[in-house]
Order: sequence, then structure tokens, then C-alpha cells
Amino acid sequence: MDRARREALQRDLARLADGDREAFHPVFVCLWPLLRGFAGRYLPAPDAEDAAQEALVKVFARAAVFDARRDALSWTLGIAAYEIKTVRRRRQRRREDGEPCVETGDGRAGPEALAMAREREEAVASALALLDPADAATLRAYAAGDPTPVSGATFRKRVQRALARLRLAWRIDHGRP
Amino acid sequence: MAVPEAVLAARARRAYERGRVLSARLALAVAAPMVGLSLVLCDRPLASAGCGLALAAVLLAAAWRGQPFARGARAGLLAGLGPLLLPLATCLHICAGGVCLLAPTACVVAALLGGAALGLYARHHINASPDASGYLVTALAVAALVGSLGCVIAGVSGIVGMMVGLALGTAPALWWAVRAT
Repeated sequence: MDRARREALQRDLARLADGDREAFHPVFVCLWPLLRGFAGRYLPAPDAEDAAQEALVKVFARAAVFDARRDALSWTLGIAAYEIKTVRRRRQRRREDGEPCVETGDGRAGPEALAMAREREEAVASALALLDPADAATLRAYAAGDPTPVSGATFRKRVQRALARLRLAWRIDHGRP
Repeated sequence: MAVPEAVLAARARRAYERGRVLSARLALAVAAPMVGLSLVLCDRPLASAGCGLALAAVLLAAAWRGQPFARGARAGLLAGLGPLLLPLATCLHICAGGVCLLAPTACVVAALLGGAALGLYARHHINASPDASGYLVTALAVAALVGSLGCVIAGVSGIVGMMVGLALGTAPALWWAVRAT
């Protein structure tokens, strides 16, 4: 976010805190894409959308008590970060309870989940294509559980390095880890 | 799940309005001991409760509306402290026969001082603002209600005297400001 937009957000949020309803729309227009992007960096798509919505609603619910001396952007992102943490914790609990993350009622993955999984696979494939062939082969062997041509510790180290490079390539390509 | 932006905006708007109502909590927390004091010391529970309810309603509405109304309510809470506490302090006084005018006098004097302070503050801080009338009306209403909680002890005459005192105390500073512009 550039300096001018940041200052505008500070001004509009202060007006909203004072009770000026005309500042609602500019704050909403500024915050919604910002929070969606912020949540998208730390959560997968459907959870990111939910977390961004919840964070946005919470920001507006607390706007009346916003202290104009504080930095509006940091205050907003603080609320969003807490919301992201909550969603992550919920996901973690769901995993621990053995609940499937995205499934339809009859236990089969729904069309939306299938499309998302396909999209994810394509994105992984395109990120793998950017890697060194040796790294890509290591990761494929690791994913398939194939027997390793080198010792366990060496293979783990190679996987670790290849994953780091994959993450970097993914981040450059998709803007999120 | 993705929802249309208009639906999300409506949800955010409702949350904001709810938040504004909840922002009155601090003002209500300040007003609660004032009402308690009046109920305990003034021996007129019905009048005290009535003033307390009216005060709570005005504070709630002012906090929800915000802007000059919320600021006026805060100033009114301060300006009303004198007319609230001074008459209550006369509880300790014992009159030796005849008509005791100490409580009504305390109401008028404290209201004059509170009104003057309010007028001076308003003159310095909201002089050229178009929100001045909203600020003043709310401040005077809240100050009058807070003062009534104390002046209930002197009966209707005390409350009327306090209101006149507030108006008279506020008037000179404002008249001066209007004349200067």
C-alpha cells in the first residue's frame, strides 16, 4: 500500500471512528481487497475468504473505538492477523479430530473442491517445471514414496533444499507461500 | 465462502452501527455511579431513576450518532458534575428551623459555574464549526440531566434553578463568540 492510500485510510478511519458515515464506503473499498490479499498470503483460498470477511466485519465493529493516534493500517492488519490465527487454529483442530477439510455430505469431494484440487495440482506442476530437473525429480520421488538412490539423511536434505526452492518459485509465481 | 460485495458491505455496516451503540458503554459506566449516588442520597427514587433513564437514553443516542453529539455528551457529563455533587454535599448540612435555601442555591451556583465552563470550552473549541449547535444542545441536555440527579434533592425548584443557571452560565461566552463573528 502506497503512502497516499495509507494516509487516506488513516483519515477515513478516524472520520468513521468519530461517527462520520460518509467515510464508510472509502474505508470499505480500501480495506476489502487489502484484507483479502493479506489473508490469502497465509491461508488457502476458501479459508482466506472467510477470514478476510470476518476480519473486515470486526474492523467495522470496532471502528467506533479506533484511536486516531494509532496507525490505521497496523491496527487493521492486527485484527486480520488475529482472525487468520483463529482460522488456522480451527483448521489444526479439524485435522487433529480427523475431520476432512473440504468434502460434501456423502464423503465424496464436491465439484468445487475437485476443481480447486486440480488447479492446485496444475500450479504445483508449473512450479516444479521452474525448478532444476534434479530438484523436481527429488520432490517427485519424495511425493511418490519411491526408494531413494542415496542415504536417508542425504535424501532428506535434498528434499528440504528442493522444497525451499519450490516455495520460492511458488511465491514468485502466485504471491503466497 | 465468497459472498457478493454488497452483502458483505451490508454486514459490515450493521457491525459498525452495533459497534457505535456499544461505544456508549464507557459513558454509561461513568453515569451509573452518578445515578447510584442520587438514588442513595436524594430520597426521591422515582425522580432519580427517571433522570437516570433519560440520561442513559441521551448518552446512548449521542454515542451512536457520534461526531458533535458524542463530544457534546462527554462535555455535558463534566459540566454536570458540579450541579450533581454540590447539592448532594448539602446533605451534611443541618438547618435550624425555617426555610433552608442552601440546596437550591447550591444547584444554581454550581450550574452557573458548569454552564460558564461549558460555554468557554465551546467558544474555544467549536467556535467556527457548523456542528456547534448539535454539540451545545447535547452538552446542555446531558449537563442538565446529570445536574438533575443531584438537584432532585432540592425538589422541582432546585431542578428549574439549575437549568436556568446552566443557560445563564453558558450564554455570555456564546453571545460573545457570536458577536465576534
